[in-house]
Amino acid sequence: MMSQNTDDITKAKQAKRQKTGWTMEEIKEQAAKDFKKYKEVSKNNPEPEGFASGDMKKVLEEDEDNDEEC
Amino acid sequence: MLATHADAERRYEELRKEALKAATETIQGQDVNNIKLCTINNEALKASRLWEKSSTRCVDWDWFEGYHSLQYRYPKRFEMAIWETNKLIGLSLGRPTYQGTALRLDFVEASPLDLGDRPAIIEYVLLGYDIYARLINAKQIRIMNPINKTVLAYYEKFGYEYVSRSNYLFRSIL
Repeated sequence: MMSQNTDDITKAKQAKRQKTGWTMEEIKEQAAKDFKKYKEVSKNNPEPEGFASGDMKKVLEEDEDNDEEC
Repeated sequence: MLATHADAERRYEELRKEALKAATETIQGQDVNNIKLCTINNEALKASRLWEKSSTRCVDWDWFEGYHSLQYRYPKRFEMAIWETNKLIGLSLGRPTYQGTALRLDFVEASPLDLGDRPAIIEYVLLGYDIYARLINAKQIRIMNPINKTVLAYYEKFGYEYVSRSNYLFRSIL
C-alpha cells in the first residue's frame, strides 16, 4: 500500500514537472541524491585513462539544425 | 551582436551560473570541500594551455579557439570548468538541441594525469549537466560521440543508454 502511494506521488510530481518544470528546491533535492549515486559508481569504476570524450572538431564544423529530436 | 542574441546570452549566463552554484553547493554539502565548478573564463582557458605540455593527452583540442568560436554561436550552451583548489582539472561544453528537449554534452576533457594527480571528474560533470538540464526544462541528457568503447562503457555505468545510429548516449531526467 505504502509503495503504491509512493509511486502515485512520484507519478504526480513527474506530471507536474511536464507542465511547469522543476523548482530550484526540487532540483537541489534531486541533485543531492544523484551526486551521492554518482560518487558511489565512480568509486567502483575507475576513470578511463586520459579521460576525454566527444569531438570538438565535428562540433565546430556542424550545423546547429542537424539535431534529431525524439 | 544583435539585441536578441545579447539578451539570450545574458539570460542563459545567469542560468549557467545558477546551475554551477547549485552543483558546487551540492558537492560541498557532501563533504567534498576542495572542488568548485565555474563557467569557462580566461583563467580556465589559460590553465588549459598547460595541458598541451602533457605527453599522455589523448586529444589535441584547442580549448581557447574552440570555446571562443562556440561561445558566440550558442548563447544557450552549458559550460563548466572544474577546479580542485586552484588547479584546473576538467572542462566541458554542451548545448541544448535545436528544440530544447535535450541537453547535449558535446565534449569533456580531464586534465592529463602526467601533469599531476586529481580526482575523477565524471560525478561533477554529470551533476552540472543534470542541474542545467532541469533548469532549462530539458527532458533528456545526451552524451555525444563517445570517444571509444571504454569511455562508452564507462558512461553506461552511470545509467546512460547508447544509441548507435546517432552515436550518443542518453538518460531521461523526468
